[in-house]
Amino acid sequence: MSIFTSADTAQPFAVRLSEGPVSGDWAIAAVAGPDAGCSLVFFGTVREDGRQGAVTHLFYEAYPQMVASELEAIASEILAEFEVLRIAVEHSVGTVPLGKCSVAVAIAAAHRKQVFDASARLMDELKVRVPIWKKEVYQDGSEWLGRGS
Amino acid sequence: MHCYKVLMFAGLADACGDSSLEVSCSQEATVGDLIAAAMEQCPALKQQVFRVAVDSHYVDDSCVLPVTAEVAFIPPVSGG
Repeated sequence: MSIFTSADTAQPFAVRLSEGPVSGDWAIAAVAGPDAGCSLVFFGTVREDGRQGAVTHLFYEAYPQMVASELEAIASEILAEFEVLRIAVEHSVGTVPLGKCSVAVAIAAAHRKQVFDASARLMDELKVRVPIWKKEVYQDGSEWLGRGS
Repeated sequence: MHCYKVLMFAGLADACGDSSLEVSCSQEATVGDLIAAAMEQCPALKQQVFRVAVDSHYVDDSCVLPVTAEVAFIPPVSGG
């Protein structure tokens, strides 16, 4: 179920927050176009190895309208710095089980040269600026994680 | 005086026992004034690390709050 979707996937940047795991299909479709010679998709998945032991699942909380505005600002910076055409981000809220995808970032470009660096930059910025929080849930407790986790 | 609703999230909301806080400040108060008033009202905030967003943008303590501002206390983020 989509919690928030930016208005027009034809724009250079699009974002969607969805309840539960994301597939990446929406982000891939949002960046596709005849001007693209490649697209790169980064998937972040839920890892078992947690800060306080074995994780059973993650729980994500977000501040949706600020997620949209902050990601749009990051995307604007990346579009200005790198030779890429379009960026789309899908991120989960709520529960995401082990091994499932919590974030998908798709970036299309005419040529592959800068798309890898653009993807890495977006994830680096997302992890320190975008108001989304993850809670590791264990068999016997849980913990909210802080910056850059 | 004006009453601002402050949104709180994740571990910050857990520490304060609620996802929002109503804080009264004088009109044309700064973010710093609002933080001080919020900490008086909810002492648990003093132990917390957070940034402040006004109308979905990060601001510093000197920002003067518009009367219509949507204010959020943003604990360290951990998306991805």
